[in-house]
Amino acid sequence: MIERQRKILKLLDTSGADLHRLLARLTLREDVVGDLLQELFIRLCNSRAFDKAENPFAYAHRAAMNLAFEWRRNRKTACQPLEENCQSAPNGSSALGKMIQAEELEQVLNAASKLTDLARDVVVMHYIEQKSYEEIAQRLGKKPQYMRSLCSKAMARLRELLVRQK
Amino acid sequence: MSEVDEKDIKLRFEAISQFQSSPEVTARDLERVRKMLNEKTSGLRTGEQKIWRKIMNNPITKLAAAAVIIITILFGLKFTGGPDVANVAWADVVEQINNYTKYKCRQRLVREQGPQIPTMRVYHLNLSQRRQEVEDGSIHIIDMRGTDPITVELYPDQMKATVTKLIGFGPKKDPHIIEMVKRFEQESTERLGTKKKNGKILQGFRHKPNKYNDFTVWVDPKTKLPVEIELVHTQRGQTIFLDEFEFDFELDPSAFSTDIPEGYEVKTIIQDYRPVESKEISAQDIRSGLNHTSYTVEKLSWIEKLTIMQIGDPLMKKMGKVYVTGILSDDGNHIIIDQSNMHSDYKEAFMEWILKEQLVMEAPSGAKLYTHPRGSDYARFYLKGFAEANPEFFDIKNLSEERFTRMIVMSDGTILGLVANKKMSNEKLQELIESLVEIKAN
Repeated sequence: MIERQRKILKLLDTSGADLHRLLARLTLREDVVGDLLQELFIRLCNSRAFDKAENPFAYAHRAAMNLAFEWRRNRKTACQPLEENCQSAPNGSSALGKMIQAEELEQVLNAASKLTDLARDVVVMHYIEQKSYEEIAQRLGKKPQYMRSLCSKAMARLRELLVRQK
Repeated sequence: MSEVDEKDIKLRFEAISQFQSSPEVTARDLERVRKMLNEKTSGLRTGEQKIWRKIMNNPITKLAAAAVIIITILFGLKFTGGPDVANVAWADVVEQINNYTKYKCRQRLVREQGPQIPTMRVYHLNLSQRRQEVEDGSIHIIDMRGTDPITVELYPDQMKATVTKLIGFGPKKDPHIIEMVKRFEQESTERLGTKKKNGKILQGFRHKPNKYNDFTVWVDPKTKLPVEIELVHTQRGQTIFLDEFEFDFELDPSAFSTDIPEGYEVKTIIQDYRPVESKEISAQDIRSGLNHTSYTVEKLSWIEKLTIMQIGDPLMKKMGKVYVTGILSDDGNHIIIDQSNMHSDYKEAFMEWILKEQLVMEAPSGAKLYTHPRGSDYARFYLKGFAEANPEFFDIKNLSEERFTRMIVMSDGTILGLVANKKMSNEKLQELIESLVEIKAN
């Protein structure tokens, strides 16, 4: 147990900020990330499977994604985007980067929560975390071609889901 | 074809991938979890410490434990190579940077194409205040602490000043490059080895947080502070170089004052970011609202309906006022021409479209039409904004996949946007551009 705690503390030091960033991007809510991060580490503390995980970060990363999408499915109130990222620069230099409005970002994340866990994870890693298919395949222990094909199907499914929402 | 295509989904993911919590929030949340874990660990450690005490009280196990500790230290020294000035961990750099709140540096921006930005010396007093001394002799003071941030441009050789007031925009914090560098994680920061500069050995680190930004930081191993930073904006075709750093510089606080020195001729520009009431207005209202030349459309034979409105900028979460002229053509196309103080002049060159511009038409009057790299999105947001402000004029359900955007640069340098819901012939487009006339005072 004490070994697990140490492993978790080390994980917090090395990858805590990455996990925090992932949760922020999947929830678009700066005010709930702290609670979710705490919940994530409590779950890891209570997880025997974490002890056996060959790659503790990959395990925690997957758990963080599950947690964020679980939160997304359960919440009832509308989200507010992170203010820092949605504000526009006064010189308009990034105005176009801000074009995609909060509601549309919410829609795409909500649609992603309806994908299978594997497809959802691949989409998040490829498009939000901008990992290559090779990196994703390595992390998930699959073949890059499979990741590419899964991602392509997931995008088609997302499109269907978004059209239906409209 | 549906409105939501794969490109659109990718754009949304791209926007999500840019989200970052503020460093303060991240640090606070991580500290909270660390505290929680430490409390848990200290509870568990009480039991472990008892076992350790037992080992150390026994003379045989005590010697064995000492041997293990010595071996571990020797092993560590062998494989870390012992003390080495050029072997700085990224975490040490971040820790060192965190000791400083203000810094100055030289900033150069090199673009692959488009107008070049002059080199400047930037003094960052804090996240809301900075002073830029530009090589052309001008001085920029930026103060974003208040509700109405102010930027001042001083031209001492001409005794002229331009004051821009951003009403309702602030207070804001500007996440400058050092602030971004502080966020790099040890795990995702790649070591680049060493290089020699001015007799000093520097240690390099590289961090590529996403496909848009590629950072290289060269650090002095003695001070553990950055000496050079290179940030490549891969998609924009530009690189920012920072060097000649000085942390905790000495400069009189008056150097950050936005008060204009006596004797200067002052031009004031107001950019209003307060909530905007959508309403129909007249051409004269556009003229009085813009701080540059304003244009209206002369009646053309194929224009069935023309409406002028003020709306919140659809590209800026409706912050800031935009003047839009909505046109309904005889073939059922909806066309919008937008003007605002954001398009004030060639400062617009900062925006990405002009870097990726493609000239598609030059009208006899000298007006030029350019494509927009994200024209479909630009058009969608403007058409949506107009539909919300005036649903009778345009119903968003009729948004077409043929929509497009053209940026108009008038012969005097004024920039306007043109959005159409459906295709337009070049003849009609040219006719429309030629019908743009300056709004003169009554």
